[in-house]
Formats: sequence, C-alpha cells, structure tokens
Amino acid sequence: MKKKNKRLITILIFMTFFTFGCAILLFNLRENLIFFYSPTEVFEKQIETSQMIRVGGMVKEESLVKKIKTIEGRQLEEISFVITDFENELVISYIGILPDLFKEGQGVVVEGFLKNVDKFVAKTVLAKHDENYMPPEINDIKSIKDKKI
Amino acid sequence: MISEIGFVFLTLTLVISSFSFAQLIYSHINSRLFVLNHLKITNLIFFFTLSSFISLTYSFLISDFSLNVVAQNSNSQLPIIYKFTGVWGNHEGSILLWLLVMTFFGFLFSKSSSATEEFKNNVLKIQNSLCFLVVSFIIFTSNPFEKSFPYPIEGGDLNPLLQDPGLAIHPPFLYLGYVGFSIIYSISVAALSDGVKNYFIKILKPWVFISWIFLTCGIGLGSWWAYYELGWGGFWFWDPVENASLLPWLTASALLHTIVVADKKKIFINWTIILSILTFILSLLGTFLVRSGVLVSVHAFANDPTRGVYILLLLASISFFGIFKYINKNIQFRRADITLISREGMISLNNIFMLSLTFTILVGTIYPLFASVLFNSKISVGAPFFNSILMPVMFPFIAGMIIGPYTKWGKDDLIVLLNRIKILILCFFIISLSVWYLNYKTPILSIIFIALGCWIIFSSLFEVYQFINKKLTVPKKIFAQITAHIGIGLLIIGATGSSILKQEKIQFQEVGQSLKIKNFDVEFLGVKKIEGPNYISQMGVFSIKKQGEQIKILRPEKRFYNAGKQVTTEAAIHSSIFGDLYIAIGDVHEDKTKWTTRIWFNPFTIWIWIGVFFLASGGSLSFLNSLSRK
Repeated sequence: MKKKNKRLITILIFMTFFTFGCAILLFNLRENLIFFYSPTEVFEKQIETSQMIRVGGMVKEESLVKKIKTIEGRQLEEISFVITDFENELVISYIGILPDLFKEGQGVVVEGFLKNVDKFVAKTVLAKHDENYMPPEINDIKSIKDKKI
Repeated sequence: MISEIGFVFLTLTLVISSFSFAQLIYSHINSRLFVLNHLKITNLIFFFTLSSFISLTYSFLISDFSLNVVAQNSNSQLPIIYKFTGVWGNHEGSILLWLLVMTFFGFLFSKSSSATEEFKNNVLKIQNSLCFLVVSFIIFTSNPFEKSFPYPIEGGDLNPLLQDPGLAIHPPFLYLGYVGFSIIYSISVAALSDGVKNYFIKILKPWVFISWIFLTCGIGLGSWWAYYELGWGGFWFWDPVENASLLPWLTASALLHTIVVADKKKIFINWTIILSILTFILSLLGTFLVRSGVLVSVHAFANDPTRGVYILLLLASISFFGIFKYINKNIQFRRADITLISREGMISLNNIFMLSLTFTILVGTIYPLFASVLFNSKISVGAPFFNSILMPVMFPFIAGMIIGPYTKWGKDDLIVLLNRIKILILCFFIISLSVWYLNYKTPILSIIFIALGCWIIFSSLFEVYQFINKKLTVPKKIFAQITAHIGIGLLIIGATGSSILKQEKIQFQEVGQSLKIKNFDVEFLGVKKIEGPNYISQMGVFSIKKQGEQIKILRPEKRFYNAGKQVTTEAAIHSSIFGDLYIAIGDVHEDKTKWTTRIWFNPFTIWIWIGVFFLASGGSLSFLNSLSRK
C-alpha cells in the first residue's frame, strides 16, 4: 500500500511537471512563430509592423535596383526588388549581400518586417542549396502553381 | 557495363537480405521452420553492397553519363575529388552510402568476439532485415543505376555549393553516426526476445560509444561547413535539418550516461533499451525530414515527396516492430530504488533534461508540419523559440553537470557533498567576477554563459586536482568523462562568442581603404581574376594588420561556375584563439573602384571546434575503455 502510494505520488509529480513544461513550451511556441504569406495575403491580412514575417514568391523580372545610401556616415548599398505571386506585388528592400542563388525570375523567401502597405524591409534573404529547388512554401501559392503549368 | 554489374550486386543484396527478413517475419509463426546462418548473409550483403558502391564510384570517376545520377550531378570538367565525393552529393548515391554503412556495421558486429554465436545470429537477423528495407527503398524509389537513352554528352554539374572539401568528410561521418544506431537497435531488440538479461549491456556499450563519436564529429563538421559557407546561417541556425541531427545526438548522449550505470549497477536496463530504440527511430526521422522536403530548410537538396512516403512507412514499421518487441518482452528487470542525491540520481536527472530537450526540439521542428495540416497556415519556428527554451533549461543542466561527478554511488548527502566541493564553489565566485571584470561592457547574457562554460571546465579540472592531491592516478573512465565535459564547457564559450558577441560591418570599401574592426585593421588591396579548374573567380585581397604589422593576407572569392552558370561566395577566415576575422566580398560598385565587403569578428569561434574535438576524444577514450574491459 505504502509503496503504491509512493509510486502514485511520483507519477503525479512527473505529470504536473510535464504539463507545466508543455504549457511553457506551447506558449513560447506561439510567441515565436514566424508566419509565411504570399504578397496577396499580405494585402488581405492586417499585419502589424512589429511582427516578423516571411514573404515568398517569384522575383519579378528586371525589378532589381541597387541604390547607394549613406547611413550613419557609411556608404551602403540598398537593394530593392519586387516579389510577385502574379496577382499582387510587394517591394522588398534589403541591405546586405544577396545570396548566390538569388536570380530574377526565380523563387525567393524573405524574412523581415512590413513597413508600409507596399514596402517590406527584409532582414534576411533565404538561400537554398540547389538552383532548381523551389521552396515548398512557394510551390503552395496557388497562383504561381497555375502560372507554371 | 560496370554500372550493370553494380545493379546486379544491388539486386543480389536485396534477394539475399530478404531471407533474413522472411525469417524474422516467419519466426513469429513458426520458429523452427528453417534455420539460417545470418552471419553468412551479413558478410555477403556487405560484400555485394561494397561492390555496388565501388561500381557507382567508378561510373562517377569515368563520367559515365548514361547513368542519370552521374549526368545530373557530375561533369567531365569537375576536379577528381569532387567526382568522387559527388557519389554521395545526391539523393541516390547518399542512400547507397547509407546502406553500405549499415551493412558495414553488421559486418563488424559479425566479426566481434563479445557475443555468443546464437545471440549474434539473432542480432544480425534484425540488422539484415533493416538492410532489406533500405535496399528495397533504393531499388524501388531511388535507383542510382537508372539509365536514360540517348544519354547526354556532357553532364550537368555538381551543385557548386557542394563542391567543397566539407562534402568529402561531413556526410560519411554523419552516416556512420546515424546508421551506427541501427546496430544498437538490433542488439536491443534481439536482447528483448532472447532473455539474455544483463549480458547484452557489455555487448552494446562499445557500439553506443562509436556511433556517438561519429555523430558528434559529423555534426561538428557540418556545423563548421555551415559556418564558413556564407548563407547557411552560421555554425548553428536551428534549421530543421540541423535539429534532426541533434535529436538522436541528445538521446544517444542520454544513452551514453545510462549505459554506464546499467553496466555497473545492473539497473536502468529497461530504460537503456528504450533509449536505444528511440535513438534509431529519431535517426530515421531525421532522414525522413531531410529527404522528403516536408519542412523548409536551407540544407534541403534533391528531395522528393514520393520518397518521403516510403521513408515514413519504413519509419513506422521499424518503430512498431521495436515497440511490439518491447511490449512482448521475454525478460523481467529489477526495479531500482534510487535517491536524487547520488550518482544514479544525477544521471537520471541528466536523462530527464536530455529527453526534455529532445522533446522540445522535436515539437519545435515538426510543429510547422502539424500547423500546415491542421490549421492550413504556413509557419516556421525560428531561432528565438529554441534559444528562449534552451536558456532556462541550461542552468539546472549545467548545475547537474558540475555536481554530478562529485556525487557518490548509492546514496549521498547534500551537506556532505557541498562540504566536499566548497573550494570549488569559492573558485566559481572568483571565476565569475573575473569574467565579468574582463567583459563588463558586453551583454549580461554572454557574461553568464561564458562564466558557466568556465565553471564546467574548472570543475572538471578540479576533479583531476583531487586525484593528484590524493596521490592517485586518474582512472581512465573518469578521465574520459572529464575530457568530454571540458568539451561541453568550451562549446558553450565558443557558441556564446559566435552568436551573442559577434560584430558585423558591411560597407562599400575602396581599393586601398582600411577599416578597423576589434583590434584588426583590414586593408582592401584590390581584386584579382583567377581561373580555377571549372570556374572563374574574382578574388579580393585583404591585408590584415595588427598594430601596424601585417599578420595575414585574406583572399575571399566570388566564383562563377561555368557548367551550371552559378555563383558562389567563398569567405576567407583568419582564426585565432580570441576570435575569427571573417571576410566576404560582394559586387562591384558602378564606379569600379568600390566593392561591397562584409567583415565579421566572431569571438571564440575556434573553441566550438576544439570543444567538439574534446567531446570526440572523451568518447574515444570511453570506447577504448569499453573494449579493453571485456
């Protein structure tokens, strides 16, 4: 009887810890999720400017522009390009070196913040290992699928 | 011709390993139906797979473009080393390597002297069945010997990002680790139905160590490769593929600690088996995630959802078989009564933490999958989640790691224990204050973690001191543990430096212009045009000066590969024990005198790799120890 009680208590303690741990885990998960949108969804949904999101689509042909900007006394190159899902477009601006596999007319995913209704400041432009590889996220955007077929 | 022979060998592997598989399935119905010598089957399938692998390698080396894999992933201009490593730089070839390693572990086990013939036979029956599942996967979904007619005169190219020495060593090591767990699975499952009781622990032990060492090195090498390859997010990115390799590593590390107790005290036997099975399942899950492309990863290449379904089936059947065998087990184990403040208690605590971490990382990694199925929303879980979860867990974990080695087996008293390490605790205060004094300007979090890293290293050294003080030599087992724990300490310091403390500068730099970062002066000397074997490169030349004296010339490159019309950025790194200077070069400015340059200073990064080396050395010492004590 006593031994049984002891086991029961141990199990209960473990269960409590486990539930507590899971609660923290899920709460943390919710806080740190990064949602992925297509340009059309960016327009349709209300997205806060403080929320980090990912946007994916095709880089519009001949949309890549490089501009020199002076920030804090240093000359920097601001890169801007347009992401399209063939329904809507979104202008992306980015400071940094573009990944090697970045090309106009190819799929891209950027991570960053929405500044205006039609301007997005990217913190990261995601590169992939393979030039023929299309991120599944982009593949799922319906209008791009239709266009490709 | 050679490639046909390769395919014949592969088919032979399928046919012969199917005998083992048939008997494994049949033995549940009638165990005395027929008796096979699985040792011979193991030897045969190893030989056949090796021959098949050699044929594929030969086809790559002579650039036989009639094979689809070669035509897509190789090129006649490719340097010979990349023709060779290109064998596993694609899905089909890498799975063949996977099979080769699996049969190799079976082969090694058949030659080991520790087990009885009967037990070996039972283990290899399971191992051969696993090989059967993998070889059928290869033949039916990803046959490397598939041909096309008419075949191209010139091949595509090996993905330029993979044309790197990293490809030569990282995948083989990783696979030796991942697949090494297959033999651990086989031994544990065989032990369940055989009722050999505790005897199997001694057999299992060296295999746990060897696989763990390879996986540690494999992850370490991958991390190093991702670090110097620009655009892969640095040494650790919490990318699904990276997490997938960390999951079996964590459970294997838990197993590593448990098996020591299991061997010494004959407790936790049950738990050892569960961990063994779980570790292999997680290895397979990793393969599934990497190969199927269900998750978005920077490291994903050459994936195909239809293959994913097959791997998922494989994963499910192997898991169910393990669980089924566990439920119907033939042995009863002694229930252990343990107290928290004891060596056993501390190791249990270690296991609880390791498994909590595994569970957390697993949830974070596969949550996007659930979200896309259940809520139809596309999300990703980024580094902030993993960092915020990892940090609070780290503190008790490190505390346990420091106290653990000082506890006694059986039962210990907390007060007596604290009294035993009071000098150590005093030293911790001094260390923390000096770390804070030296780095008081930096973020508080980095100070805490660097201090914790130092604590671990110091407490490990203090163990050595205690032995010397008593005029004793440090036992080999303890020495292995100390080495590995120092490795963890160094790893924490390196990771903290390379993530929290890193500094970045990005700008247009004129030829002749000098920039200051940390205490280095980086002078841009110009750009040269270089022709490589299969690429043209623009090589930036940077002179690195410290207090006016030139210490090194760094040459980052931007390469244009001819065959695939691709560009890669090759960073140049100057490493020292205080930190790495990391330079990458971008595009030229319109006026042709300025270039975009990106310069980082990553403090203490080298200690990550040294830490991994210490971990692997500690593992190797334990491995040698477990061999010699048989």
